[in-house]
Amino acid sequence: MYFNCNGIAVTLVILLFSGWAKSTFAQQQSDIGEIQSELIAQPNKCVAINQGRACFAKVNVSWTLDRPANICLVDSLKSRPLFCWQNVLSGRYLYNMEADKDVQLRLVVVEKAAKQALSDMAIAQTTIKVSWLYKTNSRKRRWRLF
Amino acid sequence: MYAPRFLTVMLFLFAILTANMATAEEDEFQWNIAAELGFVHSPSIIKGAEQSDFSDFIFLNIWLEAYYKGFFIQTNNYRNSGVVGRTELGYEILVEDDYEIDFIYKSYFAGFDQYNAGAVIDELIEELEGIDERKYSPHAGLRYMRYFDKSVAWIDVAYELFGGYHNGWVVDTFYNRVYEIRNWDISVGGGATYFSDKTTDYFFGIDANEVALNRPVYETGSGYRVELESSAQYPISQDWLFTIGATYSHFSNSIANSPIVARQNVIRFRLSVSYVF
Repeated sequence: MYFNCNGIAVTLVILLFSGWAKSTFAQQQSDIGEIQSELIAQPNKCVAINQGRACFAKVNVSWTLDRPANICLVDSLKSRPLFCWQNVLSGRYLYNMEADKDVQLRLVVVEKAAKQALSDMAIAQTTIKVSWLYKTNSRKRRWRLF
Repeated sequence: MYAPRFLTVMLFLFAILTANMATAEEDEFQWNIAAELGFVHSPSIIKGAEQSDFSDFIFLNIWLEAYYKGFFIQTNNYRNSGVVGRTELGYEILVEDDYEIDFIYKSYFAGFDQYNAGAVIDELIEELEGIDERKYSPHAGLRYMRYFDKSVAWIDVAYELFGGYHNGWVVDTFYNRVYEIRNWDISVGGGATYFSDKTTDYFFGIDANEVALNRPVYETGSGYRVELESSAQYPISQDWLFTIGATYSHFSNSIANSPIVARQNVIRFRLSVSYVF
């Protein structure tokens, strides 16, 4: 079900430069506004030992829509979508997270996923919080076990 | 006889007077308290001090670590041995990016007597009946600690300065490397400790007044301990830490041949969860 987002983005750019692109875009925005969606990330917390350290997690991401749409899952810290689906009602994705700050996952409708505006068109979003056990990254620590 | 003590005091005073005061960040009060509950298998090198009951294998530690204006305390308030045996006091004399020199005050051997040793508390230990008490006798000295990217190495040179129980020396070295593998911290380390004849003899020598059946007079000479250690830590949540690890210790013949020493090699194992406040 995966398809190339770049191709759609290029198409969109062409449409934006055509005479009727403006009205079409407005119509899509209206349609998107009506989509009811749910986006769940499990776990939604990631804990590393020391402050500033990157946190690793395998996050099960699932989402549902109330009507089929072309959807991309976007990580706020990355420039490209994690995955895209075409004309589906629901999806799952195993996200291999590696981050030293909170990660925001967003569902965006592909028809509007122009490169420069991906993050502004989310129909659902969820946050995976990154925290640390030790709030300081002091080099003083317990170096011995016994 | 008093030269080592005098030298240590002078070194400490000199170090304090010439101390490179800590940076503003290090002037801030920093602390950590953690409660650790776990399982430990820790064969004692002292005869008759073995773990036997289930409760001997379960431990509850309170760890206190505090740093302020160069002073630091690291305390493991172990239920069996009390605060004194596991406290490390110190002062940062010189702190640089990749190394520091500290004044250090700590015990390198736990004290024991005929009623308290290893896992045994307030109960007569047959094998030790009639021995003099070996008191907790912290050593005072200097620590040079060198920091590398993911590892640390240190050497302590310390003298039993204040107690006056044996006036012995200790030279303790250790190297520890941490591997960060995803959210795990895997530590691998090793070190060697040299104990002067006075230190070793105080703890493991047998004086004439302590002689008993199977316990002849014994003079130890100097001794050493070599240790290898590996542990792993994993943050279960924002407050809970899981720890598992093992330490292998090998003692010199001068210590192992003592009539009150049970073994030359010790493997200790520890598994715990800690709540970090």
